[in-house]
Amino acid sequence: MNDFEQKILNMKSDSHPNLDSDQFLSKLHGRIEESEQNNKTIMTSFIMIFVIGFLSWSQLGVPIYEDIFYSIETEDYFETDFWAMSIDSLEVDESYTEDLAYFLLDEGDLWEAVDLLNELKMEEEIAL
Amino acid sequence: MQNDHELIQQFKNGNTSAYDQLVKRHLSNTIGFFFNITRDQMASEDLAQDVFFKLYKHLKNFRFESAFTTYLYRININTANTWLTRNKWKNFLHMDQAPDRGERDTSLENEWTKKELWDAIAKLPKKQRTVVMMRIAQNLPYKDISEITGMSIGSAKVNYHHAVNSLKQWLSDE
Repeated sequence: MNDFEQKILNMKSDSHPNLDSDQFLSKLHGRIEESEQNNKTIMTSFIMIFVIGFLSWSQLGVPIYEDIFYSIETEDYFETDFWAMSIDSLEVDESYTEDLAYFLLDEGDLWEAVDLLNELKMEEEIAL
Repeated sequence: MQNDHELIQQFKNGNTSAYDQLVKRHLSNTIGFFFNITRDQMASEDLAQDVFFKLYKHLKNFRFESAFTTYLYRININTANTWLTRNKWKNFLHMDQAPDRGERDTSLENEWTKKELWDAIAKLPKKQRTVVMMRIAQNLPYKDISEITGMSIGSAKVNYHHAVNSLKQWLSDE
């Protein structure tokens, strides 16, 4: 071992700094807790991003218009605007008229039913 | 008194106070190691915090194949290497500022200070730096250095020899 080598080995400090080990441990545990809390936050954020991303992705390709599940023919079945009623629609048999009258009665439109029957009767008289 | 491996086993079973005992046992040595390198109490405490924080996270993977001190020295060396490299760049980026040369150690009649020595060590290649750090800061024998670094005893000696020659040259030039 030469002089230079001895010199650098002598540079080693023999005196260690004073240290309160309890304080050191308390700081260390604080840091560990903080790190665990951060990990939890990061995990929660990733899960949220994943869920939102998945829900957004699952909506891709869905048509922007929705299927309309009603028939335009329905208007004919539930026509109640008798003033605009086509004359052809009156050329129906007696059972259809009765059904219509019962329907109106079920709906609670007693006077509408009476008007309908009167009108049909009047139409029949005019036709005669 | 429980040995290191027993304490680690207890820590693995969920006993955190066993970890505290382990820290208390090796704290002084770890702080001393970093104090030799940094010459600053705050910095050495911070580095020791880093070491024991890393240790807390990775100790559950400890496989009991080697002594705990070997494992701890490896972490110390890696942390010190990172600090020295970071410090080297910090010094480089502050070249325009008046350099803090540190107090000259007149008792040893050195022509250079500890700071200059460690700045020079920071410039060494990683293997040489590692061996020198363990020799100077921890006074470890080559056998232990070989075990910690995974290099042969001969290789450790050669690396140390090259490092000392480089340091001698650099420091005598200043």
